[in-house]
Amino acid sequence: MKPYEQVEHTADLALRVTGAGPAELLDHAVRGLCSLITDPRAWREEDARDVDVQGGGLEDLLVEVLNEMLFLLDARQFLALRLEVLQLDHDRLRGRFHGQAFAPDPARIRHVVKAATYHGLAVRHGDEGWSTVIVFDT
Amino acid sequence: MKLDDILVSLQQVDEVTWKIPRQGDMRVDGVFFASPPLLKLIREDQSLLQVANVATLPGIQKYSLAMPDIHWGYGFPIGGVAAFDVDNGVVSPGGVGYDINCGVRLLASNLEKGDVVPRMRDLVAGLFQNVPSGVGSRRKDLRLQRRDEVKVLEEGARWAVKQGYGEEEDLAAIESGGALPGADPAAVSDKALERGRSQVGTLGSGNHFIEIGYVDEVFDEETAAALGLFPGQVTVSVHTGSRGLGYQVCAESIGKLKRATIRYGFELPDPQLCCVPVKSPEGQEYLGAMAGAANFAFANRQLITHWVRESFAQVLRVPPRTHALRLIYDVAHNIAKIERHVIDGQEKTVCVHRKGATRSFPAGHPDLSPAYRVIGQPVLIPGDMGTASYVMLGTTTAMEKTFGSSCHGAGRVLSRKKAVQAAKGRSIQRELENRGVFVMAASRGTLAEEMPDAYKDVSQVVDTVHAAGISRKVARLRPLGVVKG
Repeated sequence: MKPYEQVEHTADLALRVTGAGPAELLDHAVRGLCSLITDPRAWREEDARDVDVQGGGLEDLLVEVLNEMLFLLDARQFLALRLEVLQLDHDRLRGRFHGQAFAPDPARIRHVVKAATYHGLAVRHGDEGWSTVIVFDT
Repeated sequence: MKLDDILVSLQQVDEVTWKIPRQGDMRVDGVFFASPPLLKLIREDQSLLQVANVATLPGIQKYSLAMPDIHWGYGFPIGGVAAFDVDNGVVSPGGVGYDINCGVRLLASNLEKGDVVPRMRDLVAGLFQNVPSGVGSRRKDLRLQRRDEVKVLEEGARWAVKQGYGEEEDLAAIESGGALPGADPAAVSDKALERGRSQVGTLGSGNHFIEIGYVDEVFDEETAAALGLFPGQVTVSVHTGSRGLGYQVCAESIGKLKRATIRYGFELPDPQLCCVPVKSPEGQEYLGAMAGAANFAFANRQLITHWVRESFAQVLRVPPRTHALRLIYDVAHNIAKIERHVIDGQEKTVCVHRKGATRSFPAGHPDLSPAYRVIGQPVLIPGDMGTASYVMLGTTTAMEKTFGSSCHGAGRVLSRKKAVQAAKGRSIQRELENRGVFVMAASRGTLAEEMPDAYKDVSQVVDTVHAAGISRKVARLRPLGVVKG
């Protein structure tokens, strides 16, 4: 299974994300969102930002960490390329975004993403691992 | 509930009105407006299931409504309207959306089409230079301190006018006078303030735009004259919202309210519909933060208006009074408002959510400023960038049928992904130029996503709301030049 791929949604963008476990699912979601925003191959891991989010389960942590990534991009010009998960509990995620200072250049932007939503969000896991579909507001 | 069951159950009420009868956990019927071709498009996505889902929320009044430009959103459909009893109903951040008070304003000039067509490239380039657009854009000469930003949240467009960006008379031509009451800056997080601080006065990207156009056809001469519109007249539309500040307010509110929803014992068909009682502490906190973000958006459009007026003066080398560019009106498309409406013969206070819908109040409505209380409220409907936009007017029928609401635009028909695929190998800019529309965009990607083929035919949407009587046509505008973010 692909770590992430874009799926159809009329008004917005949606990603199907998979992972061997919850931590990998979160990392793949961060990588997937990055690929919606820009071509990840054009950027390097030069810098890092700590992230600490809370929520009532994996779905909440997923949306919160992606929205934190969008905050860092929009307010502090930092593009996260991947997420290193340091601690993952039912209601808290501590981790580190690895990425690069982001000089906003429209020529290198694929999509402008406003937020990750909870629309229809449910993380599933079975023999083949963990998966979910996340809808983004654009 | 399943979409297939909803599609099978649809009942036609009249030529353009359809009902989704109560089923499953729906507390009220769903009602939407669509002509036959629009119905065909609407049936192809999940939006009618979303109308039904909204009908399950506590305290919903009369119907869960959708306008003919409805399309699949997240939680609420885009083009959805729902009103909730303030005493036993709910408020839902997802029912407003991330771009709080995304809206549009229309300016009309003293100029005629012939005055600007030869200068269109310079005008569009002037706007492109003076109004920051696209990702990460900043206006270097407008860097707010935190205390200024708090004032923006409290005072909205009035803050901008006080700083010299526009005229006092502009405020009377803005929905709610350009400032929602009850804004609570303390309910807006530091992160939201940080995200918004450098973005006030910026257009942003995606579907946001500035469009120079002209009045192509007048349908109602008396109203057009009362609004100061005439055939051939040059107009400017500005479409933007609350930028990153609004996105952050919405995202944080949904996170908080999702947990509160569980505490209040509401079971929801979609977590994005999370909601709390209007009068609960969480509900009041959200409404205070939302009003602040809405006011940020009103101020944003006011600042941009000032730079539009400056750009016209610079490029055409005329004093501002020559081009005039008077504000005709400014409407919100994504908002929740406390309003009075008649329900089952009794006037009630309700919280009306408009997500991708426009307020459509008739002449005589007490919430309108004096000039518009005489004429009625202009309802501004932008179309795609190559086709047309409309000026409509609010009606008493809208008060009866839709809590004083109408459509907000053409509505997407192609996903962004499909639009980009359809644009491969084409120059959207050249295609538009061949249609007489000069476009400058911060990003080529945006141009592809926003190309005319990606949208429904705005004329069909407008004809449907006109036939439904929930707003009536006054004039059609055609684009000449567009700045896209």
